[in-house]
Amino acid sequence: MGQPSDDTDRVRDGAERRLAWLDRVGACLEMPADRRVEVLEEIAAHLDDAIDALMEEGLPADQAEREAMARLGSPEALGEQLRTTHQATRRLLASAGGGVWTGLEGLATGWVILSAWVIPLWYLVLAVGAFVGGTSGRDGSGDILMLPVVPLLACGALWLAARRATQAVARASWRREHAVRIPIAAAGLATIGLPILTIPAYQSWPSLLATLAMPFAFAAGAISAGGRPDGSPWIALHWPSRLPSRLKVWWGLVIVCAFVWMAISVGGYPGRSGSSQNGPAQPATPLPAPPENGAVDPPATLWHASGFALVAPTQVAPNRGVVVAGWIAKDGWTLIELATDEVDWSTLPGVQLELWRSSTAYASENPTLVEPQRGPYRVVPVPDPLATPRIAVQTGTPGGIGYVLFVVSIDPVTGARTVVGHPAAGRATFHGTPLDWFAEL
Amino acid sequence: MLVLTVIADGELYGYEIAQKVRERSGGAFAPSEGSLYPTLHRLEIEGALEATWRESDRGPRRRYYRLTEKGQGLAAEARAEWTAFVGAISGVTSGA
Repeated sequence: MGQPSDDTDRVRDGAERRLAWLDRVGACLEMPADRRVEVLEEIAAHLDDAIDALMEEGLPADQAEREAMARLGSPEALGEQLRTTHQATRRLLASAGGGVWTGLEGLATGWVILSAWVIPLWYLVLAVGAFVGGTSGRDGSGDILMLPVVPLLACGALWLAARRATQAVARASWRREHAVRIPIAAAGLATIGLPILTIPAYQSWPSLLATLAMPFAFAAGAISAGGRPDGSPWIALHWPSRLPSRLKVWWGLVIVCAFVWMAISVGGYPGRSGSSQNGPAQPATPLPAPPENGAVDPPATLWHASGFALVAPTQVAPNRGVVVAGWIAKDGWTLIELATDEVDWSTLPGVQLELWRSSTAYASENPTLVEPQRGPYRVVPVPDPLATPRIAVQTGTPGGIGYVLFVVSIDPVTGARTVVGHPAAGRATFHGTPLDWFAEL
Repeated sequence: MLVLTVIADGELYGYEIAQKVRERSGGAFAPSEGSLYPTLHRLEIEGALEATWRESDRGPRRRYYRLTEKGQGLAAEARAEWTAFVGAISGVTSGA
């Protein structure tokens, strides 16, 4: 009666011994899990064949098993030989190209997917802000508009790109993610960080921080690619396609609503007369010459420039100013919404402002101020139906594509010009590299 | 060379390769089974062998190896070198 039980125990013991032996081989194989399983499966099949053959030759099962394992040698030596065989330098070099390609794919995918989540949510927040605050979302949420959405999206996309690139390189080079993630993270830090530090751009604290975060997002993506020691991912991502179908419908509605809101929001600004102005298709009217101070009233409806952070610099420096980009002046007037207005206009009664425009729209560290555009331009506080500080400025410049504007007050008595702004000027737009920015500080 | 020559006759999996070498040498060569798989995998990485998983008529699935064109060239080259070497040794020993 005890015989079957003994046999079962012996078989179980043998299987456990074999598994333990294979585990010792597998512990040396630093390669992706699926590859490791394949290698071990091949060795296990070899062991089975050898044991069967030895048993057919008359060896008892235990002895056949020991002999078969002995013929393969030390499991550590076998594992080490297999590891070095598969981790050939040529395989690593060949995997680099695939890793770059997969990374670029991941970047594009991440951008699209994150945009599908972030942009509707962003506009949803604005819509809620408008509903709660009784203003248009854009006006009531100026600080939200100041969020550097593009670099933040880029951070997310880079994170995903690095994860995918690391997994692809590990897979193609037969290494574990742990073995390649640090070099990939370092390479990403260098290749993304160097251009960011050396290419001049318009900087503000939020955009600067988000931009500087981009190489670190890539590095974090690479390092997180290996997951936890037990192989589970650090973060389980749930893309929209994996949502339950009911949630997908709701999410689709959110996206549609958000884009409708976006269309309404971007399409036009309801002017002071209450009429709505949509789109740039206005009848061509001759532009008035830049007026003498007080000569012309602003028209009833105005194009606007939003996101205008009027925190003027404390001194006129070539690369300091306030950027207005892509806004169109109707009839020579531009309504500037002061998304971040730190100027106390009540302390400046009777002050005239002038806007100094640089000769180049962007990327000029040493702009020449264009004389005909200097003004003084008339600056009119606009009665504000939307509770947002705004001024109308007659620049006489239609279809502007970008300006660096210096806001300067002119003393009505002495005519002395001073730059208006909060002394801290913490959010003044700055043109230069991040290194220049820190040097300025 | 032994591995390439044995596989030249047709698709084989690892254990069969070791057996064939042993059989053909009349038991004179018992290849180290521990170095067999690193050798097979290295030849595969170098493009001399192709491997495919296939169900076996007995037991678990096996990984079958076959020579590629490059592998056939390498096998022929190795055989020629060996023949020349044996000829040279024979010349020396028969002259003595």
